[in-house]
Amino acid sequence: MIRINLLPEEYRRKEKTSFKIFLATAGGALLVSACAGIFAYIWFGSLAEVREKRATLQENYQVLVPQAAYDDQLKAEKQDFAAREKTIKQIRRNRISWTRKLDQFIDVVNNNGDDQRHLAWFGSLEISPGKLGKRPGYNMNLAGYCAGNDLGKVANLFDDIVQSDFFKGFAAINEPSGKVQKLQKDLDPPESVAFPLKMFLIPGLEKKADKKKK
Amino acid sequence: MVPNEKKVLLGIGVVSLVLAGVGAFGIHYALGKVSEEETAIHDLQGKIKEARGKIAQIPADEKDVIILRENVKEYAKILPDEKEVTEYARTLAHYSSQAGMILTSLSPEIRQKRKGTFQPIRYKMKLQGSLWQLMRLINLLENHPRFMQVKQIRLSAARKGKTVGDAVHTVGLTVETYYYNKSVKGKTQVKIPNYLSKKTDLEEAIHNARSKFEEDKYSFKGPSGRRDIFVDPRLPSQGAEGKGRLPRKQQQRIVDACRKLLAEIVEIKKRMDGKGPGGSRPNIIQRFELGKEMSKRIGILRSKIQQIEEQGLLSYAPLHSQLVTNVKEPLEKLVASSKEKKPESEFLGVDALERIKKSMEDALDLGDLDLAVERYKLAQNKIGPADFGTPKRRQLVKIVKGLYRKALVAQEFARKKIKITGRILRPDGLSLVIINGKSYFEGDPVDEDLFVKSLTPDSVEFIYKGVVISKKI
Repeated sequence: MIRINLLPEEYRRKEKTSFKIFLATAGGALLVSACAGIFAYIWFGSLAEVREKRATLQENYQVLVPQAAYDDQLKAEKQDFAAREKTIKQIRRNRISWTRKLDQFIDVVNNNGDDQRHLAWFGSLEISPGKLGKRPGYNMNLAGYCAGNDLGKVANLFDDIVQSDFFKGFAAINEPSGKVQKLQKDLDPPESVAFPLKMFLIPGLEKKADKKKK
Repeated sequence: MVPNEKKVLLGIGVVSLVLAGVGAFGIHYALGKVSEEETAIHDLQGKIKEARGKIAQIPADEKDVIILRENVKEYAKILPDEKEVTEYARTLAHYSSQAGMILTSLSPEIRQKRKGTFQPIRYKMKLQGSLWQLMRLINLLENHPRFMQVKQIRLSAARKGKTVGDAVHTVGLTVETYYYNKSVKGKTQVKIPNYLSKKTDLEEAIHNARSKFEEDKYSFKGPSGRRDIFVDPRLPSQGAEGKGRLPRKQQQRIVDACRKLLAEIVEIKKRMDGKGPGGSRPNIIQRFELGKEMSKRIGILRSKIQQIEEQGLLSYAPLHSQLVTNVKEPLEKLVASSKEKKPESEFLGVDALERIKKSMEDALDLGDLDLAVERYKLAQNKIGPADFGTPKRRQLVKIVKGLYRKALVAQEFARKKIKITGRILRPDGLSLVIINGKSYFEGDPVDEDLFVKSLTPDSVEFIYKGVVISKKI
């Protein structure tokens, strides 16, 4: 049936919105509002809070940065000095007191004036840097002579050298050997034996040996 | 449902979904931002923790840096900087002269610069002199404040001369030192606040760290009667007459005679000390006689040794060494030990000091100041220094000297004109005393050194020059 509404528009009864549409609209609005609300909560709530917290921490950190940098500089300077100190220690450790060594050597050779065990003297001395294998150190080489023709006295001298304080720090010595020299009739005794004396000293070895003993 | 309504519903649904989707995207985005911020917070917290850890180490690091700086300055003194290398050359020449050697050549050894904070520099020296002069030179170099190391020694022995002492050897030395390489970029020093006061607080730690670096310097002991080992010690086979040419056997007899004389002196000393046969200590007269005998023999032996050395009778070097090491040096040690007085015989012991202390205290209690002073003066020369003896003895000496001082002060007080004419005793307040017509309360000064300490029913106590003196009324 056709419905004809002859009343002017202003007098017509308003048409009601459909319930379904209303529901859909309300539901949609709710959904959108909820999303917007959650977004607003997160953006203006949680995010703002963490940003504020970060800003505070950042400020705190900025205060600490110069002091931490100061400590870094101290550590760097410490490292620099420590390297210098290490170098100085190394130099001192490897230093040899040749006065002490030669004094001790002279004592051994002199043997308190006892000329029966050995009476030795030397024609030359050479001390120079060298290596024993890979280890750096000093060669100490002498051209020696022993009065008399008894090669046993050369062995006595070598024994005295090896057992003395002088030999501390030495890593090597040659085997005793000798060659009887031409007679010198104007001297008493006229016989003498020539022998080489070769030793190798390693710096720091003496101190290590002393530390071990202690 | 009307078709339009469907469309409307659809439209609403689509719009809602789109808007919801936008909202969801926004939420996701916001959550992402939150997550980012939280990550940044976590990083910051880690950095803050690290920074706080470093800050906590600042005092210890400052201490280490101050100690290192102060000590490296000292260590760097042993290594000259570039400007002082010329000084190094002058030092080498000066020491050569001081040792008595003749320096014939001095030249630097050219070496390539190497990396590092220190550079070596070497000088080669050619010299002439005796073994002992060479030893003195090396000792001077090794004990020099600036670091010097003898790297090479070459010695060619002299030809056998007329006398052993004249041997002049030819020597080549290479001496090395280091200088501080300023061209290497070192880190600039950090400015430490209140450096000077912190350094003052760390003086002990600085000293301790430095002392670990101190070297024991070796002192060359000199010839000490030893022969030059670079000289043939054999004597000429034809025992020529004249100075220094006695046959070897005769020289041996001279040394043996000296040894025998020394043995006799040692024996006499043993008897004087009660260590002779029988073990009994001799009496005063016996000790006096033995002492005389010992002095006589010491005189003989000394003049014998002097004669031997002046005349050069022992030309055979090993025998001269024997004379020095087995006779001369032990003799000097024996003479030196005899001269040391035994302290127990010179100063009073603990028991004697106890008696002196008691008698002085008794005398002071009785008011007999003259007796206390007299008692001290009688023993004054035998009390000895304040730091001598056992702790108990030192304490007694301190007490006795204190008593003496008190007695002297009391004597001085006694000579003062102090006339007490009246007093008012107040149990609950300051008492009053009238001295020389003037009134004084307890605690008042009478003059610069004298105070009224307290009043009792039968006496007035004064403090005079720090000593409490009671004057009976």
